[in-house]
Amino acid sequence: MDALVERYNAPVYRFVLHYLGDADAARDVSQEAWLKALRGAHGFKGKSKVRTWLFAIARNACLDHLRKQGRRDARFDDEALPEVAAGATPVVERLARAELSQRVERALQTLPPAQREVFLLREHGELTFTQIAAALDLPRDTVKSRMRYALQRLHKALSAEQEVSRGEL
Amino acid sequence: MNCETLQTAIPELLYGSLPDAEAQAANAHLARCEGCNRLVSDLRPIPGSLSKPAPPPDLATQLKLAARDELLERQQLTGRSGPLHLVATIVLALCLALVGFALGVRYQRTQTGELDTPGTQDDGDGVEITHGDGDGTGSGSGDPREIEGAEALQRMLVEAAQGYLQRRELERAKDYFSRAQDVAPRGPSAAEARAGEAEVLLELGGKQRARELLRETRALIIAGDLSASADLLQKIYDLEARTE
Repeated sequence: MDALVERYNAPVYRFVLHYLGDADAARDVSQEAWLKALRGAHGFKGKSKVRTWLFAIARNACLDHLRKQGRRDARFDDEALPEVAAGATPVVERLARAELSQRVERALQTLPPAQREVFLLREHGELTFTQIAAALDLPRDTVKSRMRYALQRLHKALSAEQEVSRGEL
Repeated sequence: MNCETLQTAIPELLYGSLPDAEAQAANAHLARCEGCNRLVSDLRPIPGSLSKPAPPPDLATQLKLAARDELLERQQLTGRSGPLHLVATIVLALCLALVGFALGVRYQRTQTGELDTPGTQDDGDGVEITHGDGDGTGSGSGDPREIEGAEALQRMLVEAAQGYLQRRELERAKDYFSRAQDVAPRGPSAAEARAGEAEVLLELGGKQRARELLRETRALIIAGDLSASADLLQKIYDLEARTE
């Protein structure tokens, strides 16, 4: 178990942190996820990769936490494709990296969980779309479409934030 | 490729996992379609943009302690405890203290900029993250990080199985040895897992399957994928003698 913790503690923590957007909760939920992994280790059948298995557990722990908080899906619209305004300024490419990170992390919290988890499983879990499909028990095409919506919605949120910033100047 | 198919392919295009032929078609479309080009340009900076914050420095230690508590609780539930567990606990506590110390030093070095800091592309354990490393079915089977994870899990299952074998919980030991083989069929503990299951099967009267497992164990050693210890080789000889 120790070797698994050494290998995956950081990426699992980052996944949970950016999923929940709350450092205190991320610590508790990470720990809960690892305990679930320990309790369920004998049930690992080798059909998926360890990384996929671990991140599926971490994702379920996040969902359990959101359910307890009564937050799940409450803040979010359905998965309707957000429109990127025609002629919108391509803001993200001009932002400094640190600023872009902060803005993307804020924008993440505006994504429906179904899109956020796909984005984070790719970014922090480094799972392929095939592995994400396995972790979420979804068709691969659904995973790809959720990722596309996630990217477009993030861009829309970043553009809106940029417009607000400009208006304040 | 038209606008609709290009937009469907955007995730794989941005993460570099689009097959070559499709990537060429996508790039040809982007060269002639201003709208799609603009859309892809807008989205391209987003992948890989998240920061990589380090976990709290004591989290790994806390996780290991929690794991130890969980294992001890499980052992107590099965009514087993004794001097060996006490020794194991003390050894584990010493290991955890060392890990905690190392983490503290690492955290200090991180704070002073000697190690990676949030916002860099390093994932905190010295392995550089690359995006767009392919997404073909079955890709990543050679990923050393994935292999390490599987081997660590395999080692954990083998150790648990050996504990059950010592306590004569044979069915449970057999199950754990078997699961360990599924996790990483050619990992360093794969030979031990097979030899362990063969030993259990001999206890349970399954000589034929035990013989097969010992043959597989030998094959693994001959394949040179692992450095078999003399103890393990001796164990194979002893077990093979029992299958006669």
